[in-house]
Amino acid sequence: MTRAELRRSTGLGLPPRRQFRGRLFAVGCLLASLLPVVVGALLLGALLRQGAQMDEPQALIQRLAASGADGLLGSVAGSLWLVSLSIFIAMPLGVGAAVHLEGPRRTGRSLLALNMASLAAVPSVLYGIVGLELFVRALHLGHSLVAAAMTLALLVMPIVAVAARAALRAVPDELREAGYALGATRWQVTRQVVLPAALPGIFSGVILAIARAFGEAAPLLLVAGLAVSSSESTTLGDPEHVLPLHVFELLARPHEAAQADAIAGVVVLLGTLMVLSTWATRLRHRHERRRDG
Amino acid sequence: MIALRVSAAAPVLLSVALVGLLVRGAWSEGVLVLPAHGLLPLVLGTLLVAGLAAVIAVPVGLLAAIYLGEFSSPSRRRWLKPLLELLAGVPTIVYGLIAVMVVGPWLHRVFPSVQVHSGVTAALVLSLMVLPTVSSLTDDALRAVPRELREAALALGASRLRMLRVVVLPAAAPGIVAAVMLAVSRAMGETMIMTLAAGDLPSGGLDPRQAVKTLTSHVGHGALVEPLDAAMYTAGGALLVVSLLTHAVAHRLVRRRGRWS
Repeated sequence: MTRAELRRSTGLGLPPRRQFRGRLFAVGCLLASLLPVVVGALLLGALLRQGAQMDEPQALIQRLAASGADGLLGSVAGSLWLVSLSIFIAMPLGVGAAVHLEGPRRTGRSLLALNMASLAAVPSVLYGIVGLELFVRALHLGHSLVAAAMTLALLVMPIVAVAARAALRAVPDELREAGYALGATRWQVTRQVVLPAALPGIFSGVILAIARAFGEAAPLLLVAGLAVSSSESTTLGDPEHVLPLHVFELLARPHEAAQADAIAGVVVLLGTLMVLSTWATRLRHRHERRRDG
Repeated sequence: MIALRVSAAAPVLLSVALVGLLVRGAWSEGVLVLPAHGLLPLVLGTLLVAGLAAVIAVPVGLLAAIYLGEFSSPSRRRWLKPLLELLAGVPTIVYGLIAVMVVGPWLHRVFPSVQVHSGVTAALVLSLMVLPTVSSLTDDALRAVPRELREAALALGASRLRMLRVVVLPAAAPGIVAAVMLAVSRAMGETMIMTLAAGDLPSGGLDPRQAVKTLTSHVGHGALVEPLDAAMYTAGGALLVVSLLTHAVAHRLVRRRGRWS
């Protein structure tokens, strides 16, 4: 689909006033599109209010501050470590795969692309099994933060790669041809012309990947080895102290104060994600505006 | 250049490793190890919960997509669509918390026969999570229908509703089915909501008002109790097959053209 086609809207707006049933249907559709947003907001509000009722806010803040490195703050720091490590691994791999796939006429490209698309559909727990077998057991990294980061890197690599492919494809061919006309080699064109032009698109994909890695809990459940006693801590960091698992573990505890703490963790998690997604959206908008003139 | 080759090969290696590990782990001394009550209850439980979620999410998602694609003004669409997609970005652990602490107790209070940890609870929350998948992809499919087709229908005197039913929806049908399949695939692979909310009934009952055990919750609960046993690899393999099958169907359909083309 060309850019002009994308920009042209196909929607015709509301039906004319005399088509009463059409209008009624349109209103029904509007309500249906608002319903999930309203329900989601209500449920989240109910969760937060329940957390506020469970515990005195001041007592909660004092407890969170007192628990220090073991509690919420420690798990936020752990999450930041984990996510930056995994992005550090996933970004070169994903962008490299995308550059390779978008290169001139590769054999078996469609198969590689199909493979990438199917990987994006693999449920995230299965990545946990892969991480457990490959990194924890085969590479003897133990139930460590590094193993968890490598697992998450595998999980978000397809996200980065898909976004990077789209961004690379959006770079106009004229730019590449100009580079070749000036006598640049293919590697020089890729590095100095195509990648800088595609950078905003790649970057917004990376932010999406960060958001995904930040909230993901299922593969960590396996890699962190919650069943194994956590006393055998390794020098490579402890993956149990990350935000999603912190929330999960608090939830598993019976008493109410732990649940209030879990909800405090949810607030931090959602706040971080809000910032990340707004950032990604703004980046994409700016990129599109610059591209379309 | 070699680095590029390596990074392009990484996904292939990853998928080989995934399949290989699952197949190797599932066999113990030459015998395929099944979960305690067989594989079938888990698969049926997965289908039940994901199907229920789809039954709730698909009608609402379709209507929302029709609004976004057909009736909405561009300015309203610009804020409504990201708002809907925000629902898909909420971490699943948060959904799990909502299911256990808000939806479950509330359902139990209104319908005493429904337990707090039940298939219905999980399906309700799951439907909220997969709804943006349905609405966004269906919206894309509707927008891919050429404007000329709509204009032709209107020129022949069709009302807007009739145009939608007779021309636009059939033309977008493959894309819509693909959207539904992708949503089901996402729902089946979701772990945290299933583990927290669907409960853990070992007998494998299929009453949605009670706890239902699914493939993902089997693996999720297993991770908490003991180091992985072979039965969990079998469940993981089944999960991989089921979700890749639905994804493959969706992948085939997305490209296909509907009627009038």
